[in-house]
Amino acid sequence: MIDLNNPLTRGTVTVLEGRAATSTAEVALSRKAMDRTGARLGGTITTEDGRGFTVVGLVEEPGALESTTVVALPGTFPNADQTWLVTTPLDWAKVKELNKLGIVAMSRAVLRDPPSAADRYPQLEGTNELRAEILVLIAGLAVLEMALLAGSALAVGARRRKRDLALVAAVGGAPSHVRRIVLADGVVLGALSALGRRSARLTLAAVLSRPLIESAIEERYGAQRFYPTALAALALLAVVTGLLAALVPAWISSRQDVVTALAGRRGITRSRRRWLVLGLTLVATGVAIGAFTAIRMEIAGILIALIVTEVGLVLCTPALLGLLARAGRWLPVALRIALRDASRNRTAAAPAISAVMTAVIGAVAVSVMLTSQAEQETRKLAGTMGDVTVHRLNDLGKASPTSIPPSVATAIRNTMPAAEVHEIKLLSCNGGSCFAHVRPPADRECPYSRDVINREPTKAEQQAALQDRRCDGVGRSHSYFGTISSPNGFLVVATPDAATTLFDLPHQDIAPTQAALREGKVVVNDPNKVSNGQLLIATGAQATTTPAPAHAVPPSSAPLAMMTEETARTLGFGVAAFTVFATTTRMPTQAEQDALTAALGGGQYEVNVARPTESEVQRSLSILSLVAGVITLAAAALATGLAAADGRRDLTTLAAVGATPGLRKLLSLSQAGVIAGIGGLLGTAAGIGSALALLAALNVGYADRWPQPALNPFTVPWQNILIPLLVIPGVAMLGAALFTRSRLPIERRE
Amino acid sequence: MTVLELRDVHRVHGSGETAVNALDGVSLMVEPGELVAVMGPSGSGKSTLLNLAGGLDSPTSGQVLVDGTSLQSLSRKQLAAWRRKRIGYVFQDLNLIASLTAAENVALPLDLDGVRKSRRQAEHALSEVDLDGYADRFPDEMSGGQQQRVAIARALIGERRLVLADEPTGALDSRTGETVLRLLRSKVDAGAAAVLVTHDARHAAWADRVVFLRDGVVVDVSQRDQPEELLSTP
Repeated sequence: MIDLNNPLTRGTVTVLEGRAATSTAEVALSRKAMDRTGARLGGTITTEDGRGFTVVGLVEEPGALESTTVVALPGTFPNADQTWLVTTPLDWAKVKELNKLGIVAMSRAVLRDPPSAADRYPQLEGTNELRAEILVLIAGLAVLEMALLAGSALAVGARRRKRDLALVAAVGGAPSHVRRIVLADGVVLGALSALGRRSARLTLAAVLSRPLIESAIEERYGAQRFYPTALAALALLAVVTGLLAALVPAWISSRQDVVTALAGRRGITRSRRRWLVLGLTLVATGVAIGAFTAIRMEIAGILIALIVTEVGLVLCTPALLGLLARAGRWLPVALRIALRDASRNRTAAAPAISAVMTAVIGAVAVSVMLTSQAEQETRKLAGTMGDVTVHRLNDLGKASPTSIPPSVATAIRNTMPAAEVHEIKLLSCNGGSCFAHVRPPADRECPYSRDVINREPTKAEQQAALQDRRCDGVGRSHSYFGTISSPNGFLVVATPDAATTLFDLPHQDIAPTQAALREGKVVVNDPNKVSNGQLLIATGAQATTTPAPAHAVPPSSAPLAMMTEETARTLGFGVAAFTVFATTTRMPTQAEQDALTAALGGGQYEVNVARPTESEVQRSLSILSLVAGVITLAAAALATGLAAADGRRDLTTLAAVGATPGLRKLLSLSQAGVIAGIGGLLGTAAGIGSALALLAALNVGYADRWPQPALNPFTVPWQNILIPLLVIPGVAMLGAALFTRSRLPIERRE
Repeated sequence: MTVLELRDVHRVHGSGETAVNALDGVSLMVEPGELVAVMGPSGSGKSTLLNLAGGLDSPTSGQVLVDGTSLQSLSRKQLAAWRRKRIGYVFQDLNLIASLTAAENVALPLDLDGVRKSRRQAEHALSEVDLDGYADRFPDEMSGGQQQRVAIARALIGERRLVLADEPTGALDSRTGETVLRLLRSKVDAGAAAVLVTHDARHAAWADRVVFLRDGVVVDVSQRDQPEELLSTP
């Protein structure tokens, strides 16, 4: 709620069409809110409590372009959280004073002129410094990537000019002269790319990219500024990168055999053993640093490890190419030639492969990490993704003796792709819902759990708990029915037919479990909590126990127990309404969720759908795949260019011995495939390996904590990984074939 | 049956004022067991003749027939197949594919044709040119003479009956060059037909017939032992 007519609010929300609300019966909507409600300017929307509002404006939040926003005047909805916009400038001292009162303040004056690091809160010390280190390391990785690609391009150039460089040597040029010529190529390439990039960036930023970037980050630019010093630094970085990229081609060109080069022969390329040894040493060092720093959760160290490992792999690539080329004899002609050509031209092929590998390692490792973390979140869930729960708002926090009306279940069945619908109730104690759970028998209970000590464990107790097998997994939090998070498990009251779904029972366990529930037993999915056919129901803050007859079923995703309403009453408990729970045949859409909310009406119910928080993850993965794809395509294009520079004579020979015109395309396709395929394969293997090492190290790090967080599962997102592994090399190969003429050349010797 | 026949072949490179008559009404027949040398100064049309004979280039007019089949009637794919099965090339500049071993270079036409056990045939062909034990060597690991012998083995592998050699001894010393020509001669004596483009009268002396080209026209044809006389003709 904000009064957009007040000049003080200028810039917070922009009115795109219509006007801002001037009465409490009017609202302005964001485009997404209009799409979701179907309302347009002049139309009306109805809130859950049945109030109608006229839509008078289309608005946009500059800081959240994709938000579903409804802007109303202050006071339209009572009991809402309040924020004040103040004209008084707030300096750092005033912000700290407000903080002492529990008020969060965002001060323009402090943002513009931040306090010194020493004057900030001690908890935040070092945060910016760490970020700066990480940025430097990421920039280092980017320079490595650019140097590899540019190095490949320069190697192609040096190969094309092999004879010219040999002529320079033949007329008296020293190796240093040749080196300088190739290094000058690097400087020119860097300078041109800096100039091109700068002008392209200015044009793109001014004309094209702004709407694209704004759309991607879902925020409007505050302003567009150009920093000459930063641009000059970037230009210098481009020149230095070009120079670095030219080092290896320059060194190799200066050492080439002049007679061989003048005669047009290609010479033999051999890998130097010392580079392989150095590469393997760096890989081993990088892995060791990575494992060490991952256990200590030092992000900068992990990035350093990544850079060291990647440089090591880059140095190993030529030797690996040589090794792979030996396997060429079993391959078809085109692939054999492509593989051996890549091996012969390692100066250009190895950096191109390394560039692909480097990009793919990053993309794959991050995608594995993100997917594993998403999977870890999913595993905390008691049910499965897509489950629907409907709570009556009044039921949470106080006991409501009446059931949720059957119309709720009917609304769920009518609006959602529901498979099963069950009403779930809770035990009630002392006039409120008691979030009961099951305690293990005393001899099996962790002596440091909250149930036993009724407080947070001390450090010494945590260390002792780590050594005690009874404490394994104790205190690990799980999420139940969309609203409740419990570290102790959860006990619900439901009809026996709900057991199949709640415990995800195998077929053979369904009948005995339902029979046990009808017999008045409490079913629990942890046999360890049952002793002599009994379990202990814990209720209240002191976890007071009540024994009950028990039936154990196999463990499922989260610790859970259930009983029937009759059993609860027999044991002396009251029963309170809690939620209507539905499993679904597929993930419900947002529109279906909105339809259910609308069908329930009146603002009495809260609808929850268990959705993966994957949208951000998925977007990150897509961007990573895109970057890896662009680099792979660039590297493959360079490799094909190299092959074209070097292979004209081979094509003539192939024509003479009767190769079909399509073989030229096949050869280009294979050359691109070798670079993109080997790079993708090595990158995928190294990326999965890095992520595995990192996840394992993180899990080892968890071993020192108690309560122990759920271990990171090792989940490989094969769909995402198939992109760098198969799709991008496939596109590179098709592109190479598409841009290669099929006609084989004829050399004229007149 | 005549292996190679050129009937009034014309080949014009370029057009308008820059047009060059590389071949101007050339007719030539090469029979099985015959080695024909083609001589002439640079730019006389020797390599154009060879490219036309091999189906690598098409005449502007006239006809090129190999084993009685007009090459112009064949598609690009059919021409490629024709070269794989019937025509062998030997170039001056040792055109072996550097990334293939000697055996793989020799077996290349068979591999491209999908022939199985091509390796065994290649090893046999290498043995015929005295290169036993060189099968797994790469061109860079062999001398110029050895490379040219590999090229000849490749030109003759399978059932090819026509060898087109474009100055095959140009990059070799005289002794090695003579070895290569002796090899070519022996293959022709065994039933193949060959066209040898050369500048060297001594090499042309290995031929049964010498065709002398100048400005794209056949100016004379001599039988064996006459090329030196031809060279002295103004």
